[in-house]
Amino acid sequence: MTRVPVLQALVAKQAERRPERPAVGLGGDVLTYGSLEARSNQLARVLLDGGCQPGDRVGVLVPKSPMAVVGIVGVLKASCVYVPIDPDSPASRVKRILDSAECRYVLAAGGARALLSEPGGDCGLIWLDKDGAPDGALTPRYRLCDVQAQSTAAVDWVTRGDDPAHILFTSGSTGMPKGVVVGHANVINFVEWACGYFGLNETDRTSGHSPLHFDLSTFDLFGTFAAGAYLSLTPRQVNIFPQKLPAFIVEQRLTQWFSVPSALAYVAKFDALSGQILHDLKRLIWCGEVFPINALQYWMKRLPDAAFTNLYGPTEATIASSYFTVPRIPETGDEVPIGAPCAGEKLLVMDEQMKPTSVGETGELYIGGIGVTHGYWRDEENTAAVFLEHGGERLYKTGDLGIMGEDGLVRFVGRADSQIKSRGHRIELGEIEVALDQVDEVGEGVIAAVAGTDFEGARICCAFVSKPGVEATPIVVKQRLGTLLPRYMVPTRLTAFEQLPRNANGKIDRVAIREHFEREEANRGRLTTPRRSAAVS
Amino acid sequence: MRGHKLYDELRAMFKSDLAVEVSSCDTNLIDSGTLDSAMFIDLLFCLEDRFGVSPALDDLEVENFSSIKRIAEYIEKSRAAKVAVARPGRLSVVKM
Repeated sequence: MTRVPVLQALVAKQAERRPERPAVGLGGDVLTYGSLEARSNQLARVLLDGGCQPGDRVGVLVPKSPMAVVGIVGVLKASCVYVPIDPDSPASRVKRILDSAECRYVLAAGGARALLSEPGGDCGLIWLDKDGAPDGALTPRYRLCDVQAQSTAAVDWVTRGDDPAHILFTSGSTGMPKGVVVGHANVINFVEWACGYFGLNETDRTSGHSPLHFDLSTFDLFGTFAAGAYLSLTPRQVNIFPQKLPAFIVEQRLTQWFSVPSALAYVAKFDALSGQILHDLKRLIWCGEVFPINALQYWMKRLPDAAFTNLYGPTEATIASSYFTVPRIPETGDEVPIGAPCAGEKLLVMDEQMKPTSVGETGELYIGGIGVTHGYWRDEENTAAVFLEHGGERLYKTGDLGIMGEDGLVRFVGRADSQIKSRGHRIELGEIEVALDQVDEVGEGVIAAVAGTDFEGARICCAFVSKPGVEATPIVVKQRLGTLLPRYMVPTRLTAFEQLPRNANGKIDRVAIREHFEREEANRGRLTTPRRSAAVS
Repeated sequence: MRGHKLYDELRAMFKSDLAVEVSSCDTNLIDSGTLDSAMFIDLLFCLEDRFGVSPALDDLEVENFSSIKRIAEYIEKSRAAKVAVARPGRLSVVKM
């Protein structure tokens, strides 16, 4: 592959080489490389016309769609930095992110109208919905018709490989989301390695399962564009109805599936692969959390010809830093290693003195090399705490614990702090507790994470006591938290206590609270899992 | 009127067991983002626990779960099918 220094050039190159080939689609809404190039040029021209300077941030608050991808590529072509925001976030969080990134513009469409009810300072709105205008007091500075009136001719950008491409906001323990600044070169290095390792080419049809504010999506987008392949974005139903995921793979003739394991374990839980033949699927890749062995066995037994690869790496080190392709169906009780570093990356297991641990000894995982990102957006303190200079190189201290095996492969052991993974989302329980403190009706409360039944990772639970004279119900507390936190962080199990259990020292007994929720979870585990009616006598 | 009683029961179940207030029986639970995979599993648990309905995989479709109204219709349909199953000589349609 020719070395391309910036991400938007991947699209421009394919548009020149294969303008009529499909680039990205959702259902029947498909854009060719030629049209993606033309429309992103138009959008870039609007941003430049609107005064954007190189390095300015532009929020992308557009539901996952080809239009959102036009937005992302257009922002990059204007030499700007895109800030993807979860359209399922509450308005307060959207505002905090737009303010924190000091976005010059926000691209928005669809349901995002309800999230922008509080205009954010100097941030101009570009409304990309086909339906003329957003409701209420919002006045877009540009609308879709203004974008479409622009020339489709190529735009000159000034971006270089070491410039930031996007800022991804992740959960922060103090209640404020942390913005990870990811550079073009960070992504391009991973994409080059992945295209080579997986043999991605223009005949591939890849899944776009991850939300666009999640860093796995940057591989979906730019891995696909680097190869000149087709990216098929998944509709919402694929995440709800278990048989929709394999059906989608079949209908879309996907050759590559990439997601968090919980989406795949959900299919296994319902035995939703039975009766489905996934002819075209060549490789299944997961990242973000541990793939439960029983679910991995389920998939591997049914897809004997596909390659199964585990990727590991936090957003701070760009998409993934290590990989392991599972050579055979694992035995029950086996652990799948997070493997060996991808080309250009380093994965180290070190003790508290930052000395490499011996084989078989637990240490903390540190990542070095070209994937290590620029740090946290305007947050020197947090950046300095985890992006360290060591032995003449820059390392990211992950907070993950691991063991180096005799085979030279690293195995993941757990976390060194209270960060959890729930359906692939990394969540700081502290951020939820900060939000809980802001709920007026709650006197005191605790957030706990318990293992879910078998596919979703941790379940977030909330035990609370109402303020004197107030009766806070679980539904009220959940609704209040829903106005402060993105949906994936809102607890799904809530219990009102008369008083929280305390230990002998008078401290809140978190163990007792966790046990309460574990009992509740075990009770729910007795659900009769639906099966295909034909398979049941 | 039977349907309306079921609507009320379902709304009450969403409120008490899933801690979600559904504004109307026609509210689209998918487009509104109310349902996700974890919530859907909880919903199936509640349907089994409270209404004795255990859907077959083929029934886990948008049209059966897109609103309270649709879920109510599905419950009625499943109950009718169960009665049919219980009668000798009838073909088993939905049985877990």
